[in-house]
Amino acid sequence: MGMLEKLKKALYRIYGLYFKEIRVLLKDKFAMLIIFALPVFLVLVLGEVFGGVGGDVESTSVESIAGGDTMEIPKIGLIDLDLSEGFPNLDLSSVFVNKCKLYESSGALTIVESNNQTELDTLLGTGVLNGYLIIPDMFEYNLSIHFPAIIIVTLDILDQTLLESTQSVIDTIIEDFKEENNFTGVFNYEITRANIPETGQTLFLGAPIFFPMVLFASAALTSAQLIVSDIPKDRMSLTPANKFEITLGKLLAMQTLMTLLIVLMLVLSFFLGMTVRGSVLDFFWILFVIALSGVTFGLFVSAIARVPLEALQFFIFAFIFQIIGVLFVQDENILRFLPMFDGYKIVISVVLRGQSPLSVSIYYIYLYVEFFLLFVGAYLIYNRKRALL
Amino acid sequence: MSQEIRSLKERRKRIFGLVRKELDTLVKDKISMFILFIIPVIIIAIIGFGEISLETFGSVNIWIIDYDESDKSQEFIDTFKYNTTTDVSVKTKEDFNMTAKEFEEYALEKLPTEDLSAYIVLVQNFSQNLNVNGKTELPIYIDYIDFITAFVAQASIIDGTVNYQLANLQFESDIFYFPVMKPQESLNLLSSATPFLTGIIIFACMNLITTQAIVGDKPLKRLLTTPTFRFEVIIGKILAYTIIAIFQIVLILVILEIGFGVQFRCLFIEIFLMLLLLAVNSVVIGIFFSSISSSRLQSSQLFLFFFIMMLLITQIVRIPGIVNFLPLEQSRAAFTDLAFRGKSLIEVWPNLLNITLVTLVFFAINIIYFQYIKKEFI
Repeated sequence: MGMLEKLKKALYRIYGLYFKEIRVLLKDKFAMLIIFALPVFLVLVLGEVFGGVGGDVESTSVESIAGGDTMEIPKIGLIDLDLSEGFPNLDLSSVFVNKCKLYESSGALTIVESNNQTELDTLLGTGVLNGYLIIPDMFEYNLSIHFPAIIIVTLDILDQTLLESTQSVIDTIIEDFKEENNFTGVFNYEITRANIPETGQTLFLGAPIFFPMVLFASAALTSAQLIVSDIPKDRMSLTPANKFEITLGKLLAMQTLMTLLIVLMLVLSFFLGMTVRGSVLDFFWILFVIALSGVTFGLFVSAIARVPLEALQFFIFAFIFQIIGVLFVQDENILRFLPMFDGYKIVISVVLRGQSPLSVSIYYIYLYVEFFLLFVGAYLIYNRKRALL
Repeated sequence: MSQEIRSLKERRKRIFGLVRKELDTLVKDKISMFILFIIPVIIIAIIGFGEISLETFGSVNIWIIDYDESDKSQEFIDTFKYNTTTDVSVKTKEDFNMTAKEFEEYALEKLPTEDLSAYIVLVQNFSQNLNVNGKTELPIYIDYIDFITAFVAQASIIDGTVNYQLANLQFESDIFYFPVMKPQESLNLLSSATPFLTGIIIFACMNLITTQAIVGDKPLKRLLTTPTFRFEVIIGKILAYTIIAIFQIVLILVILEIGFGVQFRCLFIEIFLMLLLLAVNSVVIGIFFSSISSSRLQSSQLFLFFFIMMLLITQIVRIPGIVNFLPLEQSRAAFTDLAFRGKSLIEVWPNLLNITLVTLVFFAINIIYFQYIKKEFI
């Protein structure tokens, strides 16, 4: 048999193995849930289908910071100590207090009025309040003589779930008050938040972390069971199919499903309003490479594990350590070995900034090398395993 | 004979036997021991020695486009170049040998790239506006693609303008505030993360291990042919894993307090008991997953799915109706109140009650399922 004939038959076998794997995966309900349902749910969450996630970077209106059903409302203490006068026809501190009450009635915050700072400190210390603000004496007078007024703002940093929204509400009220009364200060900041789309902002801002993490996790988790849980694979050794062909068949089948997932996530993200500066093709390609890296990592884990449970545990450890690495390790020479970090850097530069892929070629190289080494490693380890026949 | 089997003394004896058997098996399982005692230490150590890395990735580059070319605008630029407290790089048109117009076009082109974080435009009448009106507009363009760098850039610009006003005694009607963070003693990264981190570690480790308690217990079928009652098996397993949890919680708290100096403002026993309640909760939920699963793998997958969903709801979605019943959220709130606000156990009763209610519900479901529904053992 000539080389060409051998190659043709090998390709035919890989083709058969590929379809067998696809069929097996499609019948596995949990695999389908992990591959499709969970990532799609997450895209919907970030697409704010279920309501707001975090703060809108452009939010300044009452309506936009009143979060509706899905947001917790900060409790803010308020003391008005201002007895000064000077502004014509208006009691400015009362106007400020009324502004706070207007926001309270719209559901943006709950106000606890007091005359005693010690009382507010106690409430803050016990977690009843998320922050408090004090309008000091001379507030109105300073503003009336074209001088800045400094208000006292104290925030509780122990409840970090509400810290950001507390500060955001206070900023919004102050900005609204200043704008209404034409207190622009020396510098009237005209801040333009450039380069972010008007729609799908959460998806856009979360993309560098979200897409690589979800694709890598989804691919690796499912692939981690492909070899170790495939009981009939040992019977394959009785057929002309070799272990390289079996490994390649699994890789191709899994990558096909991941490609479908990538298309689904991209279509859904763009449908929910996300836009990018880079090309969609570049976006697709980086997600494809990250998924490939996840699949080969999963296959490697699956090859070294003795039982399915062990493979799952290996995956959980690797995933947790990768997340901790990305968040807490500072040395980029170490971080480049983590596919999620490489994905983060490429997505932010190529997809969001629209830079050329060549500008971040180092991260692509790391991903390609990792893919190659993990695939060869998975094959070699699987090849050394004895079939249970 | 039947009465003897049902007597309290005999039941207690059987449950103790079950606990001992379970502990023997657990202690011999190296992977379980690794998950329970080594993983928490590694995670705490990484965070204890680490710093947030994503914050330090991008350098902040600010360009100032000066159309005014007056002494005042130069003072403004100098304040930014030499007086900003944060570590930023400030460049002007002289650095690129361009006119103001060319420089603005170049800045607009460069804003989406990593070369530029933000640019400020000093308008043509900058000096005149300040001298005549005491105020001027200040157009600022910030690149928000990398939002962490954007926040640093914005803070640096505000900082620079305040410095300029103080240095030149240039004031106008404005409202400032300098937020005071309380408690005022600085919390390091580990201390800030502790309320959520301890919950995650204890829940994840205990839950992951207990997902194998029933489904991975091969001799269990034989055991049920003895006079042992099914609910005794459940209680025996819960007690055994709770004993293991005691060691894990003590280890975590000792490492946090002695190893990394995290200061707790409550009695050690109070925080220990709260975390023990969380551990019992995770054990009961883990045993439930183990009861309803048909394989060890499926049980672990259930854990993973539940854990990811709980993390998402607790950290991102925060749906009030659901988040209040999630053990991670309740333990986070209770830990903060106990350890950092110095409250007592009695004062955090709503959190403890929520965890207890969820535990009892899962315990009841476990007993009913194991007693009447799980077909393999009926």
